Amino acid sequence: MTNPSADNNPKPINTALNKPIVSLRNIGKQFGKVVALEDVNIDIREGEIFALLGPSGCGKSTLLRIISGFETPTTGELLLDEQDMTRMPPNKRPVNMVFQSYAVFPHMSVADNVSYGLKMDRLARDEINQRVSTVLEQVHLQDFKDRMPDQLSGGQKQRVALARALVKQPRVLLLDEPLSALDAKLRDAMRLELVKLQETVGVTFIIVTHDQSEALAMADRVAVLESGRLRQVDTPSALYQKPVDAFVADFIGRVHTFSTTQIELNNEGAKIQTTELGTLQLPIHTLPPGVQAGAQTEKGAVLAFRPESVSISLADDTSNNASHDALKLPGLLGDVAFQGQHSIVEVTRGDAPSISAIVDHSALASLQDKPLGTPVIAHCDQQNLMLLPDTLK
Amino acid sequence: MSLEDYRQQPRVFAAFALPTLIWLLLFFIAPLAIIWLYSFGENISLVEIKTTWTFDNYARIFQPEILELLWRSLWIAGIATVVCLFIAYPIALVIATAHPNKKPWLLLLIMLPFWTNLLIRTYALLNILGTRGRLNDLLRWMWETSDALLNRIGLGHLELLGTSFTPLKMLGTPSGVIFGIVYVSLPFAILPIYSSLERLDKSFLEASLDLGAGQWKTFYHVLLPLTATGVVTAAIITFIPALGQFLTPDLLGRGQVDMIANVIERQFKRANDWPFGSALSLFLLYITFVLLAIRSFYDASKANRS
Repeated sequence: MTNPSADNNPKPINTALNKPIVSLRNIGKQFGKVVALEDVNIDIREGEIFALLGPSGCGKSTLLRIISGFETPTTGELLLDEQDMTRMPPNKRPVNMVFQSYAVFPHMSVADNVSYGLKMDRLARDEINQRVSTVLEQVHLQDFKDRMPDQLSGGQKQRVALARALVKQPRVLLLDEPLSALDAKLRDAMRLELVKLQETVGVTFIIVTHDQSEALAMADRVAVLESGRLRQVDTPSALYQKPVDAFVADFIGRVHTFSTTQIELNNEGAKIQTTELGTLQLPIHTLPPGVQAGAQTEKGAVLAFRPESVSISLADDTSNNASHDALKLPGLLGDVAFQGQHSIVEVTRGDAPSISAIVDHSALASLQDKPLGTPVIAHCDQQNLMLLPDTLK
Repeated sequence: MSLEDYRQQPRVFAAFALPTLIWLLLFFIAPLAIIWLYSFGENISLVEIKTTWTFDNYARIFQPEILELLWRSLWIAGIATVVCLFIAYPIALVIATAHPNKKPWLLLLIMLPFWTNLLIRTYALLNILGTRGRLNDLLRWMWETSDALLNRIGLGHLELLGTSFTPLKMLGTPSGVIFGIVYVSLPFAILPIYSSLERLDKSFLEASLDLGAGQWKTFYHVLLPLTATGVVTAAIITFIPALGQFLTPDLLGRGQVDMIANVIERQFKRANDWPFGSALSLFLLYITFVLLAIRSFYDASKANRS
């Protein structure tokens, strides 16, 4: 995985001041006895690409269907441009959707599919034709307007679905797993194209996805959901660098976690006792919400760090410059997986879970010719250690 | 080893296919061939028929009485089919959109009539549709109640409902026969429509709603075209047997609403004119072929367009 913190997407700064276009207020949804969503509050700003991210069954699709009008929330309300839309039928909402299966009508040509929504709005024929050809040009389908859907590839069908929704000039465009049905190569190209298209048309996009790299690459802001609850809403880099809990840290990228037994606050920060790593003194002066000082139960707090904050040195290398690192984990050199710009080095530690480190080539040089099982030490700088509420199952 | 491997094993293939082939040959092709030969034959004695390759039997179909009969069979079967489709579509829609737990039970209700003998069901219909049958009992009760009500509010002298109740005559009329055919064919019409609705991706309907179409427009522009195959199948599966209906016009028509099959039966029995009966039977078969051919052309042209 590429490091999203290196991503510098300038758009959040522009959209951060925009007024909210969609407001979800205390949204709850129950299907019979199953709770799909619980007390979700999100403000989505005008003009941004907003991603709803979470594992399957987290409620992200239900949330999208509430915004589109196919589901009515059990509790709470949905505001669109500050107007209550909670119970408005889908055909009366200024919101359009690109379905996961695209749902391109198989009995209509591309042009008929795209003009369908405008015909339903009883627009003049000239205006329909003009808007249809504009939007078909935007999605590069101008030469395909007389084709039937079964003569189109998956990617082209998706463009038809996009064009059909965008031609209605919606206030918000909803995209349900837009890239999941495309093959890997097309997916990467389409990611970029969707972002470009959004910049051209300026419509607010809400994207549902289970793929965190997709959400991080495309969205200005991401909402992470789990088991029907909202965990965190933030920019991709903030999610990665300042996850609110262990679930988010683990879901956005990889993370190694160690459970803590006791946390004490003192003058230099926090003294943290762990079962595996012993006692550590970290310069953490305020504990994150959800973490309390004192003895930790099993579901208390975890100490976490990411594979790319780990560096590796040989155990017998006395000259290593990482001696001041807060965390030193001795182990044996395991597999090295070459990934192009970097490599993933595994450090095995007997029965304890092994540690992965993402290291670049210069750091790898000293390990290059060493056999498997060479004693090594995995280091982590104290500023890269995160203390998080343990929300992992 | 896949299920298709038997294709490479001629003897295995033969062992599986042979019983069916023999069955079809003995009990379908052979009798049909005999009927075909009869249709070009002449009665030479009470029991003997000689195939003289005459076209007289076919020519006799085009006499006015028979043509009128054919025409009547066509429109009775046609109306019954249309009525069937109008009733079947909503029922199929209800079953297809029902809760998964309830679906098997609803389907069972549709299949239930199949488990009762057709003759018994038709006799039961006689009891319902007769001039003094249960349907007229209900209508009489409704008439009497409304009449009493009108008298009560002082409108009795206007005789708005007529002076007395006239029972609805169903038996021996085309409506009675159509009613009976609809009743018998309904399950056959529901099932193909149900299966096409069941296969339909519901997101097409949601997409239509999402694009601003109301429920009726979604039905007309999306649901109906996408289930057209089911509707056409239902129409054919209803129309073809309806065209050859024998028992329903015989019992519910009281011999006054004869359809083509009743005349065919008469040729083989009372009239003892097997050659003409054979020609009529085959003519019915040809009509069926034409209908199926039209259907294939429809499918082919649809496939061509896309």
